[in-house]
Amino acid sequence: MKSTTPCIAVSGLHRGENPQPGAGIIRSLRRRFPDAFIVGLSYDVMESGIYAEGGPDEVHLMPYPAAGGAALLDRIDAIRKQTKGTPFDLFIPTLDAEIEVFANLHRELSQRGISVCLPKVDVLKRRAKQHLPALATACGVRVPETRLASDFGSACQNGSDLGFPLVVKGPYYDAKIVHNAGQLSAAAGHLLSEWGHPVILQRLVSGSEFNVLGLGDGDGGWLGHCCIRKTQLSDKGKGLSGITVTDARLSKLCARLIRELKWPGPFEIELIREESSGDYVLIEINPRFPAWIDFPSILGANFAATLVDILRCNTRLALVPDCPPGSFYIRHQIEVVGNLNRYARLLKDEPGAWSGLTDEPTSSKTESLA
Amino acid sequence: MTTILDNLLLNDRGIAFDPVSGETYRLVGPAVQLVRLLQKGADDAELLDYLLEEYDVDESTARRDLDVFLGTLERMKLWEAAS
Repeated sequence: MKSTTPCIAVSGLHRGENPQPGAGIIRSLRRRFPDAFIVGLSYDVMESGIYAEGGPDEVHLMPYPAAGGAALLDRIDAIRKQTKGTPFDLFIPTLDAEIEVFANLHRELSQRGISVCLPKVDVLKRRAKQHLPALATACGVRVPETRLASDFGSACQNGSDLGFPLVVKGPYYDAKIVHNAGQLSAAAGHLLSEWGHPVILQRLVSGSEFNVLGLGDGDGGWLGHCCIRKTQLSDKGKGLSGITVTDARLSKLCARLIRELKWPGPFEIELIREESSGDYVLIEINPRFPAWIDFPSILGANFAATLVDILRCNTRLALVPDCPPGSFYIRHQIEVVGNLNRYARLLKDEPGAWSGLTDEPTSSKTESLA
Repeated sequence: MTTILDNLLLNDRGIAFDPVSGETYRLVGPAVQLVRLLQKGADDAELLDYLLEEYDVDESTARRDLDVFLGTLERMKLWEAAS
């Protein structure tokens, strides 16, 4: 086990309308590892978590994952060379698109002495939206009736065959509920141009949404899990509040999926309990912690800290305790304050700007951004 | 037979929580105690006795209110009358 102060890189720091997990992960890590040196890897200078109190000790901009593995690795090498602290050796990627890239780079990251906990590419692929029906069949789990479309014409045809209402999804992000052919053609056109193919069409399942987060041990078991029912949704379907539940039927269903995949590391399973039948219907498996990761941590189930234990090869791993049912969270948005000097230093990649947790005030109109 | 009502977590302020479904319910007036009695296995006569002892109400009114309450529980699929 590594015994020095952990140096951890975390991505996905934005906590706006569509929050990413990174800022919540950092809050959880600070609870267990107050001395940890945390490096934020951002894709945009306006990611709100950059400026949050208790946020990362140092932040660097990354090229978008679409730039490819070589570009991401080059950037990581450069960041580790110029860091103010010890170069990070633990990395928690949190965004679906980057996880797809980093899952191909196990060897390269390992050669650099960087520990990640990600599934192999074939495992990652099995839980992708377009392959979910096959996985569900293998595990005896229901999924909504699903069709894939690689172009606009087949999306419209498949939609008519399935009947309305439907959920139309891109391969990585975005989902829209459509009620007629006109709405379907607009949504499919948008998703194909934005995210490429396939477009995934699913029959809409009516019922309450449940999310299960956890940490797989890579051998078919898990170190813990936490189940919630989403109690409030935003217009975009994002959970604004949730409450912990305990349902053996739900836990067993998720355990079957994790066992089948031998899933290593963080996961979030999204399901709907169908109103008419009471059945749980699998909607998605995400290869990362959700944005509400810090909620169980506040209840004493610190999944992010246990992930760091895994990354540090701690041989005495403790199971994450269960969360008692009936605790709820409500997403609470606040303003964080940025400073144009800090903004400019981030753009210029000057890590020295991150020595404090708060921004120095802009005291003079003559202060230069250069 | 176990019903959802048997597993409801109930506090003294009238909030009931189903730990399996995550649904919460607000109970008002005699409903809190009636649910507690049902969880202890009280039968119809015991529920009626409770209402007559605790509230200034005649038997036909208590009977009618109890039927409405139990009907609501059944409609919400929280409880089933013994057949």
